[in-house]
Amino acid sequence: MINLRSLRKPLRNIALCMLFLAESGAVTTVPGAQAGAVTSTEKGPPVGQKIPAFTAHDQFGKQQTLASLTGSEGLVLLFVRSADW
Amino acid sequence: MSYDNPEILKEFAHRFHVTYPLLADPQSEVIGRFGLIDPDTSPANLLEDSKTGLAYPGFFFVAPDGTIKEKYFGEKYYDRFTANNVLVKLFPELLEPSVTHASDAHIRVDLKQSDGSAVIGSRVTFVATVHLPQGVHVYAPGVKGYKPIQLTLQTEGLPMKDALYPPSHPLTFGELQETVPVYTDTFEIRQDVLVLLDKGLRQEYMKFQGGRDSGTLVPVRGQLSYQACTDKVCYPPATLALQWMLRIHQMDNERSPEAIRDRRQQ
Repeated sequence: MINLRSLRKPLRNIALCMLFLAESGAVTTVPGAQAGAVTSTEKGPPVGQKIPAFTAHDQFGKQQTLASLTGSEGLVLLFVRSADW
Repeated sequence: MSYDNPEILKEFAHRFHVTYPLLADPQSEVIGRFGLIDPDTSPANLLEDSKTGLAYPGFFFVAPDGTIKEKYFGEKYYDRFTANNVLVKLFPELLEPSVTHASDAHIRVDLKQSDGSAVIGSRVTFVATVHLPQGVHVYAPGVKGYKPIQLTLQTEGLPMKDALYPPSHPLTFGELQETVPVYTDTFEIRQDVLVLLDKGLRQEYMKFQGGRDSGTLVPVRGQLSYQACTDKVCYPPATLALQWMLRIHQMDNERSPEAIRDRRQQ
């Protein structure tokens, strides 16, 4: 288990975001991932490739793009099956 | 991102107090462009009124210039990495200090895990951190003529993924000046486990509707077999019993209100 209290603040924020991510499909910005890729399967574009551009509305009705979602340190993009399951 | 319409995401975000963007892809157009549509449309894989075009669940970590740095996808839709599982792969130092350990004459093992609790259909990492006294080594997988260290979990209903062993280093010792792959000092063996349970247990869990139960605490038992040696003597092969605890929760089965649900596309 991760002890959130022991983390440096920026890292703690990522951890909290990720814990919420566990509940649902979402995107959020986080500091860049470390080197040393772990790829479980060949699903989706491979590590090292550019992510495909996309446009989608969020739950607030705002149109989001790869650019609008990417922060100074990058982006975590999580695909989930459904929020209504 | 999911194939839900924005109304469903709005209702879900309200219910779970989500403030970060949930992206709607109701035509599965983006999901398709990413090559992530799950082709399995058998009834067992869908709800009665599900549309087709469901995405495989998984994570992408993307650098500011758009390059994919990491990705985490399981083999099946019910093989979901927990957020903590991904976090401890990216930042191993985040694993909480263990509260349990096992030891015998030549070895001490701290037991850690990515998650103390998990829902069915998620993937959890169990970690054995091995501490050896100075001057003692154990043999790494691939060694010839000696017993390599091996972590085995007896996880009934919890399928295992391949154990991940750290890189070994060569050691030359003895009168024969043999060179063999070994571990010394402190090292970690990691084992991902899929929280799936058998069909009967799963059906029991599926009976719950809405909200979360307090979970069921399940022991995850394992053993570490190894042979410890110094440069002078090899001790007999030994086996150490290990046990982690995992609280398993039911899935969240709460649906969105009937009026805003998407209907199966014909």
